[in-house]
Amino acid sequence: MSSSTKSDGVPAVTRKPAKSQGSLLDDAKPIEQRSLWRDAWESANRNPFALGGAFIIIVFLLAAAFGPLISPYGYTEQDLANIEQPPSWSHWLGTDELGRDFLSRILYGARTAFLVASLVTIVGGTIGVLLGAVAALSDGWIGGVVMRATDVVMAFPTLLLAVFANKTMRPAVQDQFTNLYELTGVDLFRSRLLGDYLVVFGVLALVSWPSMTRLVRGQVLSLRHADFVEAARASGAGTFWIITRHILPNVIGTVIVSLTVGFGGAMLLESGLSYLGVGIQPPGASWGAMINENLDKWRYTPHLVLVPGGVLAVVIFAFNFFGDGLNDALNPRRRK
Amino acid sequence: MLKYAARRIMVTIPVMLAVIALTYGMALYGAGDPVATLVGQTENRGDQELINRIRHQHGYDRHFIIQYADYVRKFIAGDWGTSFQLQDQSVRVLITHALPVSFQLGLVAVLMLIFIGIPLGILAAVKRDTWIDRTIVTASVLADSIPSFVLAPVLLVVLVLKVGLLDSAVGWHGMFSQQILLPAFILALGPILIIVRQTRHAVSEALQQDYVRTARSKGLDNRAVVWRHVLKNSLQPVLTLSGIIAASLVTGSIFIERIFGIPGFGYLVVTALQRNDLPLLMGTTIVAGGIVLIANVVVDILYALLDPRVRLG
Repeated sequence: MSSSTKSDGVPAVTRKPAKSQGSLLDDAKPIEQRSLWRDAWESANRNPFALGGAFIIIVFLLAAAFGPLISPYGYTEQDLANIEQPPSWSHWLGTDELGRDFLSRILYGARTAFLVASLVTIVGGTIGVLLGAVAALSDGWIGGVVMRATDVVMAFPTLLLAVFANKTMRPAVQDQFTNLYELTGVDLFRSRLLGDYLVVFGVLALVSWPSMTRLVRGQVLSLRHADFVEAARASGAGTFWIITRHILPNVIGTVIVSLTVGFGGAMLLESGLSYLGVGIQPPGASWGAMINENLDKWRYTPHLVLVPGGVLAVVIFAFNFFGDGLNDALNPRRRK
Repeated sequence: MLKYAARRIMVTIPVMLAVIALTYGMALYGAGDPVATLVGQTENRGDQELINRIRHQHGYDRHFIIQYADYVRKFIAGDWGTSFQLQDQSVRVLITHALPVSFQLGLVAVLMLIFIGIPLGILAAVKRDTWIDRTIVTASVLADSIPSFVLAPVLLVVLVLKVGLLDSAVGWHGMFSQQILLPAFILALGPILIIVRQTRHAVSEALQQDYVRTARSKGLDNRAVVWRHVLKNSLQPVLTLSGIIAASLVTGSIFIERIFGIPGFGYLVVTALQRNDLPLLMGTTIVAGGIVLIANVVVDILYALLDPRVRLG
């Protein structure tokens, strides 16, 4: 941070250079070149909530990656002599009704949440961005078809469509996996868990692309006839050049923000599905399913509901705030 | 105006047909062959001829388009199928009995949303970039982040068991009972973030308009400016959110109604889920899509009534 920062926290360089008395050429100070990412980093530094969100997200990612490796018990390991134990030194968060170590299950739940949400974000985000760009750039009937498709999917309340698709698609997918197992003999296909994950993330990707499509389409449409794009076209730039050099850099910030917030949303949907009993099936560990399993014993073992619920809320909260911070950081128009 | 309304409704019909097609298609192809499953449970397992005969009897061997057209025709005529589990109950009767309950709950939630969310949004905009603004925005993000199925039991125990604020908070006694307060409040928290954000944004924009400067310069104080000039012009964008709010209330009811024992639409969805009741689940999914579409149409027409630019543009 070599440039001076004014007391109100806005870097001086984002303002118009002070006019000197003579001609503009007299202005000895050259305009500093700054990258999007450097601006973003500096902006994030000024936003404690975004930083806190980023910290929680990092902890969550570490828990998802390494938690199951360091957890003292397996997530399905039952100790029937010690069921529904309160937190103790041997079981930091106690045990559930089957005597499974709750901390280990929370850590495995982090992995489930991360796996499902990142696959949903990647698949749904890619489909959404591609279709949005196609809808905005094609002049013909394709754009219309894409937008009508978003109308149809968005007419359903997201969770209800996900529940319905999950309920109807699961048997078909499980059948396919059984067939694959009989055909190939690969043990992986016999486990119902893989099919579960596939159905859950496929269904959530199915319901999550339209909002991204609309966002990208709107952005690209407004940029398509922006002055600087017209100027580039007038000076002879080709379509590919304009898309990669002018439109993409201006859309990418919004897309990243939307993906970040969408990641939290996908986690919420996954836990919602699992809470309703149509997501990850037992004995797989999902925070939503853990809340559901322990809800009826809430008065006696409140921590079995509070911990997964609290962890879930905190991580989604973190993604929301990180997304807000990114929005401020990546969107130059917000920085005034 | 009538022309605009008619056109707006016409546009919705193909979307509704597609909603039914998507639901019906998933049920028909995803859920496996119901006849084979049925026959598989009897001693005639694997009898392909029997399977074919039953399929023919029920019309399952016809082309998808024809089956779908048949389903739509029956749906319009009011025959939404018969529930698998809840014996002798037509899906339409089940849904039309549950909807008024959820509608009352949703109405109370919307009222709470309006009387909590919009004032908070205005306050945040007027006190922009102060600690009041930051607190309101942070609190609404927090409300958005806590899943309702976590918040409901927490509030139940804190308010009912510990504080004793409400005598009994569970059960359904109509919309003028105290039992509706807690579930409606939790339902209202779902979409509160977008309401606060939209109001805050709209009021902030409106505050920078020329007519506000004019109003100020003629000596009106801040309160009068906001009430007389800003509010009217900034509430219209909030109206456009009604479709999202309707969807959010339907989704919320699925979580809330079971916990609070309210026999509404969400409760029906959960029941259908738990009992693998596919016809009922199809009915609720299509009706939910219809509710959101109708909410969008109503809002667009209201909007056009308020703002002539929309219907003429």
